[in-house]
Amino acid sequence: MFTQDEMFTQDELQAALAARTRRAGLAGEQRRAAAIAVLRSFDPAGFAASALEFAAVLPAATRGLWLANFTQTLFLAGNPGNVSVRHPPTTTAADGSVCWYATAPRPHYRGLCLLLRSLRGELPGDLPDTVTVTVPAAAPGAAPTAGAPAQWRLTVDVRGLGLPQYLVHLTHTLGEALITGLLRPHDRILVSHARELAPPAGGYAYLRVHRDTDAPEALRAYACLSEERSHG
Amino acid sequence: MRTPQSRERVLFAPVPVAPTKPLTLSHIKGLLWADVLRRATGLLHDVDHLHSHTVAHLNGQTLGFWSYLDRVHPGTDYDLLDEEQIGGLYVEFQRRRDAGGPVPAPEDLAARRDAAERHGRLHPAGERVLALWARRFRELGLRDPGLSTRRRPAASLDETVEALTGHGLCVDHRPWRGPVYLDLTARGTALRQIVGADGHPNYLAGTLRELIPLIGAYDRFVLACDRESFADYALLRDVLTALGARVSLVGLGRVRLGGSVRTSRHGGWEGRTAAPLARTFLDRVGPRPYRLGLRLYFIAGLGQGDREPFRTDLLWRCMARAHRLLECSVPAAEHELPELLGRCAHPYGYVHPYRLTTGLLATSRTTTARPLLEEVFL
Repeated sequence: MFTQDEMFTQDELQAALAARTRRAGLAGEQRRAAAIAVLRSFDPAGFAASALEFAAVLPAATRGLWLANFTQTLFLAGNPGNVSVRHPPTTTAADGSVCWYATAPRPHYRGLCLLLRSLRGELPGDLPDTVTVTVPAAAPGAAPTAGAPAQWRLTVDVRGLGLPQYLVHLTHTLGEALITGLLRPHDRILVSHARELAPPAGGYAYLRVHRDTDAPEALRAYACLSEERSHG
Repeated sequence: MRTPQSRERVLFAPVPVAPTKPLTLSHIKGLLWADVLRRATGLLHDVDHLHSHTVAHLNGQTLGFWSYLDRVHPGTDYDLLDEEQIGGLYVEFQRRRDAGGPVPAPEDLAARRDAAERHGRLHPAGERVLALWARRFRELGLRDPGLSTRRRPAASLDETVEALTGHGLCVDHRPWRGPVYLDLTARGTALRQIVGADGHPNYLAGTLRELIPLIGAYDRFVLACDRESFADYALLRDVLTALGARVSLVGLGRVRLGGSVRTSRHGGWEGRTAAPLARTFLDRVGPRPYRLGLRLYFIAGLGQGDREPFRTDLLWRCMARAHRLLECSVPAAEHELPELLGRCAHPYGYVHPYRLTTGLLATSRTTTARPLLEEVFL
């Protein structure tokens, strides 16, 4: 794990980005494949739980394909209850607010994409400061045999983010952390919404880095996953 | 006539024309078809005609045009302009907008929408066009569908979206400032936006605000639109049907001019609108042959599609034919008219104007029922 006392430096962000590229390269062949999430409505806890559930139930080969394609995901507006009539999804949230389609080459989902529209919108003004989600039992890797599950904090820097951008950063972080085995069954994650992102005092396990939309020549940390209490 | 028991309550709701331009030949065709459909069907059923103030005036194109006029042509006295001159300004507005000119501020559009919705307030250019249209309607022998009504729809936008959402027919992303879509994806129809991310509803939302509250009040809705709006109106038909309505839909092609079929917003109609048409024909043939001749040509001559180009020589021929039909019209037996109309209404649920009008031109026919001409065509 990294440790850092001050703000993330561009070198550190660059290193996190390079590490992600290496992980994707090791995971398999990039075939311009993407997963799809269809949202009827949005609440951060429900969405995070559905993203974890989706990543957990994917077959190992499909998880590898998703990781190799940088967990790319298209976010579409639609009603899972209606769209599933012609396009059965891989998973659907229990309340029917979100459904997911397994990673596949883009042409596979052409019909689905023609039927729906890209998700648009802003983050709700009443976005809660924190929500808690649990990694599903179906996630890869064995749950710890002794002691309590790990406690994680996932801080998302929501400054300037629209709803689609927020979902992009959250999905990449949860998906890649689960596929690479950082997150294990029954782990608990406190998703925290912040307006700035400083390196956690105890270091971090995963850093979501992308181009800074305010300064395109620079990188920015959008989300940071850190362990608050490790497996007993 | 039919017995009262067999009469249905029918709501006829053709897509209204926005008062931003003159009545072009395509508009005239649509209005004549609508007028014949409404009047003929009204002899069989109890027909109401819905002319929606909300759909005609509270759309982005019209409100944007009025905003443009106040910004670029302040102080204009529109009572000094005719509808072609105002239409010329509309074409200018569309051209500048397409060229990337300034767009009206969302707050300005919202204020104009509010003034028009709450208080029925139209821009002076719109009022002027409507006043001129009233004259054109009289010349054309069109029953006033309610051009000057300023009635608000029975349902608000929120109530409409709520009703649609309750039936799974709508995806509402307004809570996070996203759009609202009509959702018939279960049938393989793509999502269709009815409220933009900026909160502005389009004409489909306005039409649904009008029609959804009326579903129980009518046995049938008859919708009519031009071919370019047909996909939208087919979606409306399917949504209203899913909500329990019986719906018929009439799609009508525009009038082909010089080999092309164009939307009026790009011009090309100069000198070929309702006023010049009246100047060319009305004084020479008189009001009754003018009205009947126009109906013969725009309904039977041009047909429902848009394949036939507009031809003045054929319109003259229809005026002459109208003269002869009027001269040889005779009283009809009591049962004759309902039987004829009933045949032309099957299986549509409304009297089909093309079938009825081409029947007048049948070569085997030596006389025409006078009541049919009086009630439907004049």
